[in-house]
Amino acid sequence: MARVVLPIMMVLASCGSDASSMRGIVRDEPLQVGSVSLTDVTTEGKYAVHEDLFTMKAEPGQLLVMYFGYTNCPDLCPTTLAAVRSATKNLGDNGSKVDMAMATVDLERDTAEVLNGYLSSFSDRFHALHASSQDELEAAENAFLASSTVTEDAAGKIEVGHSATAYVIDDTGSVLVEWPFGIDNKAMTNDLKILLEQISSNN
Amino acid sequence: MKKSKITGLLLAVVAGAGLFASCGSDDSSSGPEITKVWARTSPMETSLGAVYMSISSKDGDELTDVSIDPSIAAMAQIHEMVMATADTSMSMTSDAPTGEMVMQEVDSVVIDAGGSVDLMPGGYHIMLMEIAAPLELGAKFDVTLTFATAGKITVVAEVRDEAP
Repeated sequence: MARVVLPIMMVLASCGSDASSMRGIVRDEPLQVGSVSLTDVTTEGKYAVHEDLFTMKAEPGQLLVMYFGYTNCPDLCPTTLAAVRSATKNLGDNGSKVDMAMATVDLERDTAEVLNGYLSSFSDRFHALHASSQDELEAAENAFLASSTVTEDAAGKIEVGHSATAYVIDDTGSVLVEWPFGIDNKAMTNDLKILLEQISSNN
Repeated sequence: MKKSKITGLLLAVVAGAGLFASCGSDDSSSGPEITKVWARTSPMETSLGAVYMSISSKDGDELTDVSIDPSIAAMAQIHEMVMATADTSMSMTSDAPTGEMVMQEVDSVVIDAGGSVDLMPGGYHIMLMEIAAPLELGAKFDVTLTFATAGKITVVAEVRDEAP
Protein backbone atom coordinates (compact mmCIF):
# COMPACT_ATOMS: atom_id res chain seq x y z
CA MET A 1 0.00 0.00 0.00
CA ALA A 2 2.66 2.50 1.05
CA ARG A 3 4.71 1.68 -2.04
CA VAL A 4 1.83 2.60 -4.29
CA VAL A 5 0.81 5.75 -2.50
CA LEU A 6 4.23 7.28 -1.95
CA PRO A 7 5.26 7.92 -5.57
CA ILE A 8 1.88 9.54 -6.25
CA MET A 9 2.28 11.84 -3.29
CA MET A 10 5.77 12.79 -4.44
CA VAL A 11 4.51 13.63 -7.89
CA LEU A 12 1.79 15.83 -6.45
CA ALA A 13 4.21 17.53 -4.10
CA SER A 14 6.71 18.23 -6.85
CA CYS A 15 4.13 20.03 -9.00
CA GLY A 16 4.75 23.02 -6.77
CA SER A 17 2.06 25.41 -7.95
CA ASP A 18 -0.13 26.93 -5.27
CA ALA A 19 -3.24 25.07 -6.27
CA SER A 20 -1.60 21.66 -6.05
CA SER A 21 -0.34 22.28 -2.52
CA MET A 22 -3.84 22.96 -1.24
CA ARG A 23 -4.85 20.24 1.19
CA GLY A 24 -8.63 20.52 0.88
CA ILE A 25 -10.74 19.89 -2.20
CA VAL A 26 -10.44 22.51 -4.94
CA ARG A 27 -13.05 22.21 -7.69
CA ASP A 28 -12.27 23.14 -11.28
CA GLU A 29 -15.59 24.97 -11.21
CA PRO A 30 -15.90 26.43 -7.70
CA LEU A 31 -19.33 26.42 -6.07
CA GLN A 32 -20.86 29.89 -6.26
CA VAL A 33 -22.78 30.73 -3.10
CA GLY A 34 -22.76 34.54 -3.21
CA SER A 35 -26.49 34.66 -3.88
CA VAL A 36 -27.34 32.40 -0.94
CA SER A 37 -28.60 34.05 2.19
CA LEU A 38 -29.72 32.80 5.59
CA THR A 39 -31.35 34.48 8.55
CA ASP A 40 -28.67 36.02 10.75
CA VAL A 41 -29.24 35.67 14.50
CA THR A 42 -25.81 36.85 15.67
CA THR A 43 -25.98 38.74 18.96
CA GLU A 44 -22.38 38.50 20.12
CA GLY A 45 -18.91 39.30 18.83
CA LYS A 46 -17.79 41.53 15.97
CA TYR A 47 -20.90 40.97 13.86
CA ALA A 48 -23.57 41.44 16.54
CA VAL A 49 -25.01 44.32 14.50
CA HIS A 50 -26.21 43.12 11.11
CA GLU A 51 -28.90 42.92 8.45
CA ASP A 52 -31.72 40.39 8.80
CA LEU A 53 -30.15 38.09 6.21
CA PHE A 54 -26.50 37.12 5.92
CA THR A 55 -25.22 36.62 2.38
CA MET A 56 -22.48 34.05 1.80
CA LYS A 57 -19.58 36.37 1.05
CA ALA A 58 -16.47 37.17 3.04
CA GLU A 59 -15.59 40.72 4.06
CA PRO A 60 -13.69 42.51 1.26
CA GLY A 61 -10.25 40.95 0.84
CA GLN A 62 -10.93 38.34 3.52
CA LEU A 63 -12.12 34.76 3.89
CA LEU A 64 -15.16 33.16 5.46
CA VAL A 65 -15.27 29.58 6.78
CA MET A 66 -18.83 28.29 6.58
CA TYR A 67 -20.15 25.13 8.27
CA PHE A 68 -23.53 23.44 8.58
CA GLY A 69 -23.77 21.92 12.06
CA TYR A 70 -25.67 21.84 15.34
CA THR A 71 -24.77 22.42 18.95
CA ASN A 72 -25.85 19.01 20.29
CA CYS A 73 -23.08 17.55 18.17
CA PRO A 74 -20.43 15.98 20.37
CA ASP A 75 -17.91 14.85 17.79
CA LEU A 76 -17.75 16.25 14.25
CA CYS A 77 -18.81 19.87 14.78
CA PRO A 78 -16.52 20.75 17.70
CA THR A 79 -13.67 18.84 16.08
CA THR A 80 -13.95 20.89 12.89
CA LEU A 81 -14.65 24.21 14.60
CA ALA A 82 -11.77 23.70 17.05
CA ALA A 83 -9.46 22.97 14.11
CA VAL A 84 -10.62 26.16 12.38
CA ARG A 85 -10.01 28.08 15.60
CA SER A 86 -6.47 26.65 15.83
CA ALA A 87 -5.82 27.40 12.16
CA THR A 88 -6.81 31.05 12.52
CA LYS A 89 -4.58 31.30 15.60
CA ASN A 90 -1.73 29.76 13.61
CA LEU A 91 -2.09 32.57 11.07
CA GLY A 92 -1.10 35.18 13.67
CA ASP A 93 -2.18 38.69 12.63
CA ASN A 94 -3.72 37.31 9.45
CA GLY A 95 -6.13 35.29 11.60
CA SER A 96 -8.25 38.45 11.78
CA LYS A 97 -8.91 38.04 8.05
CA VAL A 98 -10.78 34.79 8.57
CA ASP A 99 -14.38 34.84 9.80
CA MET A 100 -16.53 31.88 10.77
CA ALA A 101 -20.18 31.16 10.03
CA MET A 102 -22.30 28.26 11.16
CA ALA A 103 -25.81 27.54 9.98
CA THR A 104 -27.61 25.24 12.37
CA VAL A 105 -29.34 22.22 10.84
CA ASP A 106 -31.21 21.64 14.11
CA LEU A 107 -33.75 24.45 13.79
CA GLU A 108 -35.90 23.38 16.71
CA ARG A 109 -33.32 22.95 19.45
CA ASP A 110 -30.70 25.51 18.44
CA THR A 111 -32.14 28.81 19.58
CA ALA A 112 -30.30 32.04 18.78
CA GLU A 113 -29.03 32.18 22.35
CA VAL A 114 -27.64 28.65 22.26
CA LEU A 115 -26.06 29.18 18.86
CA ASN A 116 -24.35 32.42 19.89
CA GLY A 117 -22.99 30.93 23.09
CA TYR A 118 -21.70 27.91 21.23
CA LEU A 119 -19.99 29.84 18.43
CA SER A 120 -18.42 32.35 20.78
CA SER A 121 -16.38 29.41 22.14
CA PHE A 122 -14.66 29.23 18.77
CA SER A 123 -14.37 32.79 17.48
CA ASP A 124 -15.34 36.38 18.19
CA ARG A 125 -15.76 36.92 14.44
CA PHE A 126 -18.73 34.67 13.71
CA HIS A 127 -22.09 34.74 11.99
CA ALA A 128 -24.75 32.64 13.76
CA LEU A 129 -27.21 31.56 11.10
CA HIS A 130 -30.63 30.07 11.80
CA ALA A 131 -32.93 29.58 8.81
CA SER A 132 -36.46 30.79 9.45
CA SER A 133 -37.83 27.70 7.72
CA GLN A 134 -36.75 24.25 6.57
CA ASP A 135 -37.10 25.46 2.97
CA GLU A 136 -34.69 28.33 3.58
CA LEU A 137 -32.17 25.92 5.10
CA GLU A 138 -32.49 23.42 2.27
CA ALA A 139 -32.07 26.10 -0.39
CA ALA A 140 -28.81 27.13 1.26
CA GLU A 141 -27.66 23.52 1.65
CA ASN A 142 -28.39 22.80 -2.00
CA ALA A 143 -26.10 25.61 -3.10
CA PHE A 144 -23.28 24.02 -1.10
CA LEU A 145 -24.25 20.47 -2.16
CA ALA A 146 -24.78 19.85 1.56
CA SER A 147 -27.67 18.10 3.30
CA SER A 148 -29.01 17.27 6.71
CA THR A 149 -31.74 15.16 8.25
CA VAL A 150 -33.32 15.57 11.67
CA THR A 151 -35.51 12.72 12.86
CA GLU A 152 -37.21 11.96 16.14
CA ASP A 153 -38.06 8.46 17.28
CA ALA A 154 -41.11 7.40 19.27
CA ALA A 155 -39.22 7.91 22.52
CA GLY A 156 -38.47 11.50 21.56
CA LYS A 157 -34.80 10.89 20.90
CA ILE A 158 -33.55 13.25 18.22
CA GLU A 159 -31.12 12.00 15.63
CA VAL A 160 -29.26 14.41 13.36
CA GLY A 161 -27.43 13.43 10.19
CA HIS A 162 -25.43 16.04 8.35
CA SER A 163 -22.76 16.44 5.76
CA ALA A 164 -19.67 17.61 7.62
CA THR A 165 -17.70 19.69 5.16
CA ALA A 166 -16.37 23.17 5.92
CA TYR A 167 -16.29 25.68 3.04
CA VAL A 168 -13.85 28.56 2.56
CA ILE A 169 -15.54 31.42 0.73
CA ASP A 170 -14.06 34.63 -0.71
CA ASP A 171 -15.61 38.09 -0.98
CA THR A 172 -17.38 37.23 -4.24
CA GLY A 173 -19.10 34.15 -2.83
CA SER A 174 -16.84 31.68 -4.59
CA VAL A 175 -15.99 28.52 -2.59
CA LEU A 176 -12.20 28.37 -2.92
CA VAL A 177 -11.66 25.14 -1.01
CA GLU A 178 -13.79 22.52 0.72
CA TRP A 179 -12.54 20.73 3.80
CA PRO A 180 -14.13 17.31 4.27
CA PHE A 181 -14.26 16.09 7.86
CA GLY A 182 -10.89 14.97 9.18
CA ILE A 183 -8.67 17.72 7.82
CA ASP A 184 -6.55 18.95 10.71
CA ASN A 185 -5.65 22.48 11.71
CA LYS A 186 -2.22 22.33 10.03
CA ALA A 187 -3.77 21.52 6.67
CA MET A 188 -6.35 24.27 7.20
CA THR A 189 -3.57 26.73 8.08
CA ASN A 190 -1.73 25.72 4.91
CA ASP A 191 -4.78 26.36 2.73
CA LEU A 192 -5.73 29.65 4.41
CA LYS A 193 -2.15 30.95 4.06
CA ILE A 194 -2.11 30.17 0.35
CA LEU A 195 -5.53 31.74 -0.23
CA LEU A 196 -4.72 34.89 1.75
CA GLU A 197 -1.47 35.29 -0.21
CA GLN A 198 -3.39 34.92 -3.46
CA ILE A 199 -5.90 37.54 -2.34
CA SER A 200 -3.24 40.04 -1.28
CA SER A 201 -1.24 39.55 -4.49
CA ASN A 202 -4.39 40.12 -6.56
CA ASN A 203 -5.11 43.41 -4.84
CA MET B 1 -15.61 -5.31 69.54
CA LYS B 2 -17.72 -7.08 66.98
CA LYS B 3 -17.32 -4.17 64.61
CA SER B 4 -13.56 -4.24 64.65
CA LYS B 5 -13.58 -7.98 63.98
CA ILE B 6 -15.64 -7.43 60.87
CA THR B 7 -13.37 -4.64 59.75
CA GLY B 8 -10.39 -6.88 60.25
CA LEU B 9 -12.02 -9.61 58.23
CA LEU B 10 -12.84 -7.18 55.46
CA LEU B 11 -9.28 -5.92 55.41
CA ALA B 12 -8.05 -9.47 55.10
CA VAL B 13 -10.40 -10.12 52.21
CA VAL B 14 -9.40 -6.94 50.44
CA ALA B 15 -5.71 -7.75 50.97
CA GLY B 16 -6.31 -11.23 49.65
CA ALA B 17 -8.08 -9.87 46.61
CA GLY B 18 -5.17 -7.55 46.03
CA LEU B 19 -2.80 -10.50 46.23
CA PHE B 20 -4.81 -12.48 43.72
CA ALA B 21 -5.01 -9.55 41.39
CA SER B 22 -1.28 -9.08 41.40
CA CYS B 23 -0.72 -12.83 40.87
CA GLY B 24 -3.05 -12.74 37.91
CA SER B 25 -1.34 -9.87 36.23
CA ASP B 26 2.05 -11.48 36.75
CA ASP B 27 0.99 -14.56 34.84
CA SER B 28 0.30 -12.76 31.61
CA SER B 29 0.65 -9.01 31.60
CA SER B 30 -1.50 -8.69 28.53
CA GLY B 31 -4.49 -6.63 29.60
CA PRO B 32 -5.53 -3.85 27.26
CA GLU B 33 -3.12 -0.96 27.05
CA ILE B 34 -4.86 2.39 26.98
CA THR B 35 -3.06 5.52 25.87
CA LYS B 36 -3.74 9.05 24.64
CA VAL B 37 -6.87 9.45 26.73
CA TRP B 38 -8.35 12.91 26.21
CA ALA B 39 -11.65 14.76 26.24
CA ARG B 40 -12.44 17.81 24.18
CA THR B 41 -13.08 21.16 25.80
CA SER B 42 -16.84 21.55 25.66
CA PRO B 43 -18.18 24.62 23.86
CA MET B 44 -20.55 26.86 25.79
CA GLU B 45 -24.25 25.97 25.71
CA THR B 46 -23.68 22.28 25.08
CA SER B 47 -24.44 19.50 27.53
CA LEU B 48 -22.37 16.94 25.67
CA GLY B 49 -18.75 15.92 25.77
CA ALA B 50 -16.58 13.35 24.03
CA VAL B 51 -13.67 11.25 25.28
CA TYR B 52 -11.12 9.65 22.97
CA MET B 53 -8.31 7.15 23.48
CA SER B 54 -6.24 4.44 21.89
CA ILE B 55 -6.72 0.85 23.09
CA SER B 56 -4.41 -2.00 22.19
CA SER B 57 -4.48 -5.58 23.38
CA LYS B 58 -2.03 -8.44 23.01
CA ASP B 59 -4.61 -11.14 23.56
CA GLY B 60 -7.60 -9.27 22.23
CA ASP B 61 -10.51 -7.99 24.31
CA GLU B 62 -13.81 -6.22 24.03
CA LEU B 63 -14.80 -2.89 25.50
CA THR B 64 -18.35 -3.52 26.65
CA ASP B 65 -19.23 -0.62 28.92
CA VAL B 66 -18.08 2.81 30.04
CA SER B 67 -18.97 4.78 33.12
CA ILE B 68 -18.23 8.16 34.57
CA ASP B 69 -18.55 9.85 37.94
CA PRO B 70 -21.85 11.77 38.13
CA SER B 71 -19.89 14.84 39.24
CA ILE B 72 -18.59 14.98 35.64
CA ALA B 73 -21.54 13.77 33.56
CA ALA B 74 -24.85 12.02 34.11
CA MET B 75 -24.16 9.29 31.58
CA ALA B 76 -21.51 7.88 29.27
CA GLN B 77 -22.06 5.72 26.19
CA ILE B 78 -19.95 4.28 23.40
CA HIS B 79 -20.86 5.92 20.09
CA GLU B 80 -19.71 5.63 16.55
CA MET B 81 -19.99 8.06 13.66
CA VAL B 82 -21.05 6.34 10.48
CA MET B 83 -21.84 7.44 6.98
CA ALA B 84 -25.58 7.19 6.41
CA THR B 85 -26.40 4.99 3.46
CA ALA B 86 -29.63 3.90 1.83
CA ASP B 87 -29.29 0.40 3.27
CA THR B 88 -28.44 1.46 6.80
CA SER B 89 -29.98 -0.75 9.42
CA MET B 90 -31.01 2.31 11.40
CA SER B 91 -34.61 2.86 10.50
CA MET B 92 -34.58 6.37 11.90
CA THR B 93 -31.97 7.57 9.48
CA SER B 94 -32.92 5.43 6.53
CA ASP B 95 -33.95 8.47 4.54
CA ALA B 96 -30.71 10.32 5.24
CA PRO B 97 -28.94 10.82 1.92
CA THR B 98 -25.57 9.23 1.43
CA GLY B 99 -22.82 11.57 2.52
CA GLU B 100 -24.43 12.53 5.78
CA MET B 101 -22.72 11.43 8.96
CA VAL B 102 -24.89 10.08 11.75
CA MET B 103 -24.07 9.00 15.26
CA GLN B 104 -25.14 5.68 16.71
CA GLU B 105 -24.68 3.96 20.03
CA VAL B 106 -22.73 0.70 19.85
CA ASP B 107 -22.81 -2.24 22.26
CA SER B 108 -19.09 -2.84 22.28
CA VAL B 109 -15.79 -2.24 20.58
CA VAL B 110 -13.73 -5.32 19.74
CA ILE B 111 -9.95 -5.11 19.94
CA ASP B 112 -8.38 -7.94 17.94
CA ALA B 113 -5.47 -9.88 19.42
CA GLY B 114 -2.30 -7.95 18.73
CA GLY B 115 -4.36 -5.09 17.37
CA SER B 116 -5.48 -1.68 18.48
CA VAL B 117 -8.51 0.55 18.07
CA ASP B 118 -8.42 4.32 18.15
CA LEU B 119 -11.41 6.12 19.57
CA MET B 120 -11.01 9.33 17.58
CA PRO B 121 -13.07 12.14 16.04
CA GLY B 122 -15.15 10.83 13.16
CA GLY B 123 -14.99 7.25 14.45
CA TYR B 124 -15.69 5.88 17.92
CA HIS B 125 -16.01 8.15 20.92
CA ILE B 126 -17.28 7.91 24.45
CA MET B 127 -20.09 10.40 24.60
CA LEU B 128 -20.70 12.18 27.87
CA MET B 129 -24.26 13.31 28.38
CA GLU B 130 -25.50 16.07 30.67
CA ILE B 131 -22.07 17.21 31.72
CA ALA B 132 -22.20 18.79 35.17
CA ALA B 133 -19.95 21.70 34.18
CA PRO B 134 -18.06 22.74 31.04
CA LEU B 135 -14.95 20.63 30.39
CA GLU B 136 -12.16 23.15 30.90
CA LEU B 137 -8.76 22.99 29.26
CA GLY B 138 -6.25 21.06 31.41
CA ALA B 139 -8.84 19.48 33.73
CA LYS B 140 -8.57 15.74 34.39
CA PHE B 141 -11.18 13.17 35.29
CA ASP B 142 -11.56 9.40 35.58
CA VAL B 143 -13.32 7.23 33.02
CA THR B 144 -14.01 3.60 33.92
CA LEU B 145 -13.90 1.12 31.07
CA THR B 146 -15.28 -2.40 31.36
CA PHE B 147 -13.70 -5.09 29.23
CA ALA B 148 -15.11 -8.55 28.62
CA THR B 149 -11.87 -10.23 29.72
CA ALA B 150 -9.85 -7.68 31.67
CA GLY B 151 -12.80 -6.33 33.68
CA LYS B 152 -12.87 -2.74 34.88
CA ILE B 153 -10.00 -0.39 34.13
CA THR B 154 -10.04 3.24 35.18
CA VAL B 155 -8.12 5.73 33.09
CA VAL B 156 -7.60 9.48 33.41
CA ALA B 157 -8.79 11.76 30.62
CA GLU B 158 -7.18 15.14 30.13
CA VAL B 159 -9.28 17.94 28.65
CA ARG B 160 -7.66 19.35 25.52
CA ASP B 161 -8.67 21.44 22.51
CA GLU B 162 -7.41 18.86 20.05
CA ALA B 163 -5.96 15.35 19.96
CA PRO B 164 -2.54 14.87 21.62
